[in-house]
Amino acid sequence: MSHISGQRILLHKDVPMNDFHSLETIAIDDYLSRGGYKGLSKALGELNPGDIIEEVKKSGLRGRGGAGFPTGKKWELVAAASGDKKYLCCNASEGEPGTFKDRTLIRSNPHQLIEGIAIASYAIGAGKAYIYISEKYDREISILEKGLREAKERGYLGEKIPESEFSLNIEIKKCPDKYVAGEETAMMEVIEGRPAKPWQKPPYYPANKGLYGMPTLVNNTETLSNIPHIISNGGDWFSKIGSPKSPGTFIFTLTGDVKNPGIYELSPGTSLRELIYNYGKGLKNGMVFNAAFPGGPSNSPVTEAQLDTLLDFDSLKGIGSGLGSASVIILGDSTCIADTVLGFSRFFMEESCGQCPPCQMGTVKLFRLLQKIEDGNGDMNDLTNIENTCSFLKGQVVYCHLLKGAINSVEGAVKNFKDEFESHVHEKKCIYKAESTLIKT
Amino acid sequence: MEKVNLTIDGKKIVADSKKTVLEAAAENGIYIPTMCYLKKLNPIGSCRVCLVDVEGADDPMTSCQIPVMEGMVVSTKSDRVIELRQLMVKLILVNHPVDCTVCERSGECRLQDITYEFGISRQDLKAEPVERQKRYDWRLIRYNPYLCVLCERCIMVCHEVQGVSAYKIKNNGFRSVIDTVDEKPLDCDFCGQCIAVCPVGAMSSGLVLQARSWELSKVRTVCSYCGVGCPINLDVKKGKIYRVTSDDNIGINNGNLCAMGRFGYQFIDAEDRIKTPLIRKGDKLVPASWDEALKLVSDKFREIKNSHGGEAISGIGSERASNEDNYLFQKFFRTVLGSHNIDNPLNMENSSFGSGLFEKFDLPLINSTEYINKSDVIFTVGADACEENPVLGNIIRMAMRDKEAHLIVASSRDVGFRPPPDFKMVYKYGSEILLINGIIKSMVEGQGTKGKGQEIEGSKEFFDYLKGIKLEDVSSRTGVSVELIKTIASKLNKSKLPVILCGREIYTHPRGVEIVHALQNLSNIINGNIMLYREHCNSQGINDMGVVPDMYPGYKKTADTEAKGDFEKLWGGTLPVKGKVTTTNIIDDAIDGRVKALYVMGEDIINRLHNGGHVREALEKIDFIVVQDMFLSETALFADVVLPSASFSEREGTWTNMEGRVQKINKAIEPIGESRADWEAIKELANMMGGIFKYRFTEDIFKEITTVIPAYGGITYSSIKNNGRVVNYEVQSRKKFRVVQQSDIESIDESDMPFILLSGNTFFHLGALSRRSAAMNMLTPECMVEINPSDAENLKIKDKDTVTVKSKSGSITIKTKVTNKSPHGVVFIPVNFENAPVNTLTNKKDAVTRVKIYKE
Repeated sequence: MSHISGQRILLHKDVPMNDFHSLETIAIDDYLSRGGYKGLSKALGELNPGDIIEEVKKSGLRGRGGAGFPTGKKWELVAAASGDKKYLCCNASEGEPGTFKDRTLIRSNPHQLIEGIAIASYAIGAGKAYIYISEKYDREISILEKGLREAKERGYLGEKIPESEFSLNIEIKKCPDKYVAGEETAMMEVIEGRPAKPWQKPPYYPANKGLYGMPTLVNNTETLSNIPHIISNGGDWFSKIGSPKSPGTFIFTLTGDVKNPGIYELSPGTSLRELIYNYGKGLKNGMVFNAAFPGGPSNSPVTEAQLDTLLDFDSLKGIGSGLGSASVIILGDSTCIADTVLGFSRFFMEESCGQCPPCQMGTVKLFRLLQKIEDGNGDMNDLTNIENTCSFLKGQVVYCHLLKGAINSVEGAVKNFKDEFESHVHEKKCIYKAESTLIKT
Repeated sequence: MEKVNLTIDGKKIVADSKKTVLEAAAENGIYIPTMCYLKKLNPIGSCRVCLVDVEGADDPMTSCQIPVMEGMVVSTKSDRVIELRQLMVKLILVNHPVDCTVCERSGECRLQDITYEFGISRQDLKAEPVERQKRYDWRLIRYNPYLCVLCERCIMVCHEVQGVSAYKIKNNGFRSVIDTVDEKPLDCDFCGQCIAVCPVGAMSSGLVLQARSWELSKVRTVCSYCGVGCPINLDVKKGKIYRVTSDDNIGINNGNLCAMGRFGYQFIDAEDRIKTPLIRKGDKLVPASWDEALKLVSDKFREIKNSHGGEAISGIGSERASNEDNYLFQKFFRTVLGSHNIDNPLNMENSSFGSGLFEKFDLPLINSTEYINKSDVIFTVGADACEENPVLGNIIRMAMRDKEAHLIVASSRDVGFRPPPDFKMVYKYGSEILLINGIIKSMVEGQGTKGKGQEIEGSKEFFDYLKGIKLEDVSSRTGVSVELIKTIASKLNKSKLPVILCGREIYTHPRGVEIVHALQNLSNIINGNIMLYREHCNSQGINDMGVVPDMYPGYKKTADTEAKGDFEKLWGGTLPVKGKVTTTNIIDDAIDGRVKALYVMGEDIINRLHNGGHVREALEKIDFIVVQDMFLSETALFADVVLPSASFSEREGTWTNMEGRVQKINKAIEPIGESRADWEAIKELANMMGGIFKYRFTEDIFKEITTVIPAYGGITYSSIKNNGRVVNYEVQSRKKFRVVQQSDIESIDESDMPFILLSGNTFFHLGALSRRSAAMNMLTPECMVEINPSDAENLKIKDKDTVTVKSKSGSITIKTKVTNKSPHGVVFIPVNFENAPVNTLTNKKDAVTRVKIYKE
């Protein structure tokens, strides 16, 4: 991306998937030589917390965890909330299938995140921050541990960070390998030592009553990694990158039937078509584009006719889909969408925590209906049943977005690709599968 | 308290800001259906049956979880919420087999009720069955996951109320089931709270119920075990008790019970209950009729009275018998036999904590547990609240949860609490007074002349005495660090409503009285309330009733001629002159040949009193022994006449618990065999011997008690139906400092007997009755001697080895339990196990019992 060159949040160059394992971690000296921790020094030395929040608001940064809530506004809420203590939680649980951006960010540039956490903590008045990271991310955990140690040694963390009265302790908390554990209130439960189960919201949100009942700021890894740049270069600078309603860059995880899958840091003004054909280098194995899930398994798939949609929160919402955490999954014409959606629904069924009856039972029901169709045992009633179940479940009261995600992809796929599901019913099999796999013993 | 205004269903409501919408609605008579909600637990919010619409919120919310807020507009009856609630129940029903015809909770099932209430007659949702594993390997508790609605009540009650946290949800999503935390067979308190709170039949008792809920009639009564006195229900069908249940919001326990209370009722219809009177023929006890037996007793008693005087007949009352039984027992002795020689085991062990309680101490020790509910700091001394009185533990735990009360546990053993106490002191046995003085010293040090307690009587002398105490010295002699003493002193000093709870260790302690005096000094400064633990259900009542040699009912001295005159007027006839006839106690008197006849009501004294061997010896010397009991105890084997006694479930009466609360026990079933309530036997015996005992029912006796004992005045059977009533002891609370000096306990040669022996109760056993309950024996079949790992290593003893424990008085053979709970140099043996009677080791004459342990 030429037009934001030099201001990279991620790396010198975009990192395709095949280079993923060769990523070098930027060491502290390297980071400092690139101007690292200047944002923190500026924040602590020149700005008061209110100024920082103002600057973040000005930047127009929106949360990168999936919901796209304005970051500055969230900070303001936490800063204004009353409580003896305040906490910050950096959510690096990254449980969404097909998303590896947080992992890549931490692996490549841990200090950028640490600096972002330090600035945010200072802005909201938190003395304790947690990095909530997937327990599978062994290597990233040790990178972060090393990073935290170095930052402390150099005096960017700990008691009374030099030239200020501000103290900050950052602790790494491992997130159980469960999708729902990444939900922000489930995260509170885990940090406090209980099973990962989301709370009912409203009435309380983490911003007013979070960890240990105290106001808590929850931000995604990518969101916080933007902060040092915003503070160093100013909110105005940031707001001019990308589109006015979704400024900054996004880190896309491109997977599926593309030649060049990988992690791409792009401006939100990029279209889906551009991502697939410019960056992903088109579809692999001579396949033709059939469908894309621009926001991972939790959002509705888009058709070829919608390929020119821009990849930002509002444009995707406009066509009934969503950006989510920017994991883009591409399906070519030899991949069965019913089978793909079946896989997603299995994922949600297995990952439902089970505390809300509609989710616990609804996810199983969707899975079983899809399985019936994919196996060639379904009839048109089952297809109608899927649609009815989706609309029934949508109106149910549940505590988190898992069920909604489970419904979105199924409902969207059935709506936009109905003929493919119908073909399963008519052919009494999945035509994408070789005959031999259908022989039942 | 802050108030907020809100509107529910168009009704304007003012509610306390800490309430939830559900609570506010209930207070104002607005009904919201619930399923997982339970008042005594924090809201769970799993069932979604209590959904309401709140103006401004997109989705309906669970009313049990949302707090009331200013200006809130709530609708509990909108079409949307009614439909959603129905759907929620239908969703729950999808996986719930409607096996109501064979389910033991049918008829008392919340899911059944709510389905009926919502008028759900058709299920249009379907799900395919999921394979689950039934857990029937949890001893007293069975879990059927097919019936489980995952409301999590069991998990929460176990965590919040019981502090055990035995359960979790295993797996997630549709595979969710309840399991134990470690996924091994359940090993917990077996309080059965999980069964009690289960809204359906998923958690059930391992004692399979053979009765439908509607066939069972519930009889409210009081648990017969410890001094806490929890109200319970006996669920009866056709003259048989099938289970024990309890009601929330009633009594001291708020529906909570311990394992013994809930499962330990099987002694009632145990095979070996005595069913007819027995008369000694040679060396055998043979069945006889009541007429025959009572005739024999009255003849013998009359004969002995005529030849040796009434005082040659002694009696021992029971801490488990009712006030009415005990009252009549002493009246029989005093008016008919003309003997003041009666006593009770508690008083015989240490009269200061029996009949002398109101005389010996300046502050009232019998206090309502309300004080614990309200307190902010709870200080337990020598108590193992979790294990000895689990329900008292629950009360403390609730204060910790709701009032954020801090808990300080001090004991000579490493007893702990669940959740862990805020502070824990493990002191050296015998150094209690020094420790308490140290705490007080740390509190008043440097507070100057205007500090706390200066105005109290004796303060100058006491504070002067404290000057001589050095914390370093206290620390080295008690084994508690100076820092901890200071922290605890400051914690107690800052407390607004402290409560001090004295456990069994204190009142069985050779320096028990002085320890309580020291605690009173502490209490004077911090303005705290002291509570005394009571071991048995009527330990307090029996002393109130005057089953002691030197006091009439209501603690009137027998030596007082005025009192004698009063009672002669009340009872008619002449009362014996001398107060305390005996010099020491009944057992010593018997050994000296002064006791010709003994009437033991409901106590197995051989296994209960100190030095069991000595008791045995005494019984052998007595000419004529009458034992009134439910079982042929070891004591009963010495009897000439055994009278079968009815269990607590077969009669009426009252008990007075550790708070001084009089509670009603009610008859649930007919007496087993020919057994009779104790008072009935006493009444007949008295009348045969020329007494005029005109009591038709226990209520007649109780009415007399209320006229004889002013403190019981005004209490009636009808007024104690639900929560009982606290006796008005009218104790003068007199703040006064007493200089209590630490003095070392004299003990026999240490090198020979290296261990201090402590004894007490364990989870699943208390008194003789739990040992007759199969369920309790399944949980703890035998007792073990607890010994510190370092001591065990020195003696080359391993866990579960069989060892001999020997004291000056006797020896027992017992298995070992190597645990850190016993500190170095201290061993602990539970009481109540007849196969290892720890009382054969103890001797009242020894201040502290020392033992040695060796492997044969």
